[in-house]
Amino acid sequence: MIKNKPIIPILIGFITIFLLVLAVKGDRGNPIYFQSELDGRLGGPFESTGSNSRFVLTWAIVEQRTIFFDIGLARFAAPDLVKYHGKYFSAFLPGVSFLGVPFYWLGKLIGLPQLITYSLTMVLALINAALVAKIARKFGVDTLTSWLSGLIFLFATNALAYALTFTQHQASLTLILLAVINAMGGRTLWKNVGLGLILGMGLLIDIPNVIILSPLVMYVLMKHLDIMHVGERVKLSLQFIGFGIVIGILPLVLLLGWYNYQTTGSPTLIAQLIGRSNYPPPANPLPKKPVDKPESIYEQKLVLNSRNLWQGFYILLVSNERGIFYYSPILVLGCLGWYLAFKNGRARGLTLTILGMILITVLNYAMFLDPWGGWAFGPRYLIPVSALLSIFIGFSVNRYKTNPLFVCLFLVLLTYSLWVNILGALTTNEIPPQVEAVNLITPIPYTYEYNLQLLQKNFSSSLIFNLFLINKLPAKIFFYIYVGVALALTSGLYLLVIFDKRLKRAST
Amino acid sequence: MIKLSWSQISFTYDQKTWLGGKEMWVNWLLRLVLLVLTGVSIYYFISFYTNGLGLAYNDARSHLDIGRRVVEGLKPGLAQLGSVWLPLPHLLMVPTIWNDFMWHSGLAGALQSMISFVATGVIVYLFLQELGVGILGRLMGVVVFAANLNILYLQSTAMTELLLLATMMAGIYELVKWCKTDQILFLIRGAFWVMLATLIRYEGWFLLLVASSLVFYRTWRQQNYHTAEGKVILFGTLAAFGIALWFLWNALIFKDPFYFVFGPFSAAAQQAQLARAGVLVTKGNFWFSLKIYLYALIYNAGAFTAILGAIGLAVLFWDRKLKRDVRWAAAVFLVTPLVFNVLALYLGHSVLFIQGLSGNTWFNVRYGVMMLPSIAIFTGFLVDRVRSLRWLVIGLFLFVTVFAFANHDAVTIDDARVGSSQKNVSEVSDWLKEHAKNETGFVLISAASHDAIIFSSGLPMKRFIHEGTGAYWESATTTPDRWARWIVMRTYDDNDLTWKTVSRTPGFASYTLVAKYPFADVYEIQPEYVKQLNTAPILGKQK
Repeated sequence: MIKNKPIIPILIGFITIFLLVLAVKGDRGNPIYFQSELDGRLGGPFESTGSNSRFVLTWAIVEQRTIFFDIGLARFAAPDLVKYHGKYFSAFLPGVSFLGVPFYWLGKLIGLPQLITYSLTMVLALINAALVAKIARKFGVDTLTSWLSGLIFLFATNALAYALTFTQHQASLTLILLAVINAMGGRTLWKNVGLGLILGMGLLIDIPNVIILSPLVMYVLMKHLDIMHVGERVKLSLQFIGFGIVIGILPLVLLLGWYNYQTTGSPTLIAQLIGRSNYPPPANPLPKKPVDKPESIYEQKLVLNSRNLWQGFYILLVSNERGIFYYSPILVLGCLGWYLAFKNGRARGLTLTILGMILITVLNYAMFLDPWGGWAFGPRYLIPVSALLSIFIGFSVNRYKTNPLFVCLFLVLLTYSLWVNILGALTTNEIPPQVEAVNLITPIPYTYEYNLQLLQKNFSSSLIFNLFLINKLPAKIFFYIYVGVALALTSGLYLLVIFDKRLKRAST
Repeated sequence: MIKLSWSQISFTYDQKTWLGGKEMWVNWLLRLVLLVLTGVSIYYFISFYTNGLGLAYNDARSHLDIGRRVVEGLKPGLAQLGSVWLPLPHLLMVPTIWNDFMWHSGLAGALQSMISFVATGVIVYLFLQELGVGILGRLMGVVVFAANLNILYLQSTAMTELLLLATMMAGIYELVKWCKTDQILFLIRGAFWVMLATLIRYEGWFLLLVASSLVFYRTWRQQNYHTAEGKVILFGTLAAFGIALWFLWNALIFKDPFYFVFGPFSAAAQQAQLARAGVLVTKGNFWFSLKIYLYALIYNAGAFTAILGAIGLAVLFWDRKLKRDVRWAAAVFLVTPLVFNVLALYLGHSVLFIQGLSGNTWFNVRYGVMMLPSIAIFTGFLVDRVRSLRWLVIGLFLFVTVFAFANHDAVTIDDARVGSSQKNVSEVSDWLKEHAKNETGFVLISAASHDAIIFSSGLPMKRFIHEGTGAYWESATTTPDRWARWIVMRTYDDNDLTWKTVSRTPGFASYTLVAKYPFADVYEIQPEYVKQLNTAPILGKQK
């Protein structure tokens, strides 16, 4: 009933975009800093090297028509830098940088290249929130509740903090969510080609995307296998349109192969496997130790090591360093919602597939040698998990929305999750892991306590705050207003969900 | 019939033919499991033999030496089975260990581990079948057990874990069948396997206690006290027979039925020493004992597999398809190794180091492997009961297992390579190999302290005078200059019985320190005294 009034989605959309824009990182300059200044200061858009190396590649492509870095760019991109055969290039896969090229070019025209390039990630974050809502809707959640799922994903998880960077997370997530939508319904050749394109693009952006999407690909492939009982006989059929996936993935794999060939000399060798180089190189490099005894196979460990699992589970799920349920406990309702969706039985295959994607993501990064994600805010590698769980929050809300206990729990978890994640988005993403934090010359906290300290010092990374509000109100007040608006938006939507149900009942 | 069109390929078959084929295949499946496990067992033994890890454990070398001493040495005989370590693993080596290759390759000891590995895999399959689990669940259970590098490594060594697992699992399997059918034959068979377990390691004694209690309790609940009493006596008489023999053995050989508990080489003595050194951190601390053992379990089984096992245990415990006493009996028995090990750590009877938790090294971390068959059964049960999630569980398990193998992730191997369960005595043993092999004369050495050196030297057992050689030892430790051309001992360490006795004799002045190594020093008699040495076993057959 309420959802049929167009003013509601327009208002929600406007407030969402407004909040996103408010969080954009930047500082006053001439007129806006960071547009021509490659400055890695805390709270700025270049505070994280994960953004820098990708941005620098975009810069090099547009400004210098090359994928290699000169000395200045190499210095800025370090340590996510590779030096090979005398040339410097990014350690990352080029997908995000390629996507950023038209944005950079557009930004260059209006004198705001950094801002417009980074807006790519913001746009993708907005798209992701919409995709979360769409998928929730397709699972049978009503429209208003599905919007709630989208907003919770965007503001109550660290997706917001990484919507303001130039990293792979939002781009990867867009592809993952598009793949989920693609997997719904029957198969056609064009849908398979589309899935192939998504896979190819995923590969171009980040290798783990292939792992995360593997349960979905299995699910889709199984749809091409048909078993029919005809009397006493059984007929097994395999449809050839499944090869559409190969057709779709091929061009982007060839593009990746070309990029690899240009940088590393081999189409199958990615930059990360060569190893990072620092710039400037050390003045007196240590001589390489002579290898008289080859390292035992029991000492050689891969990037993904099953021994790391237990610690990885702890770090990524519950720890105060990067625990997903510590930073966004609202997602517990997503777990409950998944269970309700599973019991519901609608689209059970896809529900199980999404669980598979969630679990394989957790397993993959729990085995990773750096589950912390370096200096980061929250579990950045689990942003896809946050999105997938957020889809199912709608189920919990649908089922228990008028239950007083659930309402209290929802509000408490939501408030805390909003508070923590907006805190990160408005200050800094650069929280060190505990082992590094305690060994700094001046130790800093390894949790969002660091963000609180910055806020106390009247520090905010928000461009709008730094341009217009810094002399008018403290950063703390700005933060509380922001949280208040986000809370009003989400809890207001929750109220609308309840009233919508009552109006529907009244009208019938 | 196969049909090909531009859009698809299809295959049509007659259901009856397929079902007939399927039935034949199912009948052969167990044989196939046995065949595959045998092949895997042999492959991994060869692999660990060729890379030297098969003999890395200090205890493995000691076990082999004990078996060898029964058949060859200055005083061969069953008395060489000794005390403290239970005798069955060494007895099983006797038929083959007389052969030098079987001794020095470790195969005499590994053979029983390999057979036990195959047997345990088959028992896991049969156990799950008994619980009504379908083919996929049974196979999953076998794979969880067999596709574990820690199990594959231990089954390639002369360690006793796999033999204990096989006998324990066989006993538990028979007892679960007894719970299901009430047939007395299964109770007797269960008692037999438990008896064997009691002769392998002391975990078997705990299993006997738990099994007896459960037999009594179940019978009492279902029937009456007197029947329960009778059944426990029947069960206990056979199951505890091995324990009775062990007490008798200690009384006859060492004149003290409790020698294995309180003797100088007992676990109690070792643990007391560790406690004095302040490293027995689990003693008296239940939560830390539990934590340490759970970490050992997680590192051995793999974190994801351990979680699957825990979920599977819960599913088994609350399953409605099985009779209550069957599922509870299965759950209780299968958790017994966990309870025993935590209790042993808490009471200070056992020591286990987890790197990073209780020091900077590994020690006895292989104890965590005792829960592997249980976890395999729980996981197989989970896969069977939670049908909608089964392919997800299997897929994720395979994903993790691939990386476990790719990383050679085996904590038991870490303990063998760099932990405290290994001793790189190659310097001392190589010295002996080089200098003593082609010369005559005995080597005086404490087997309790340096069994690994004895093994690794490659010299025949009869070249060594040690604590078990009776009159040779008594003579050599009072007048070493009449008996020992070389003495291997840790200088200034009174825990080394050789040093403790020989250093206080006048004859010790006739020796020169010729080699000094981290684990032991080598003394050689001065050339002018060589002529007075006894170099042949002149004391004849000793009683």
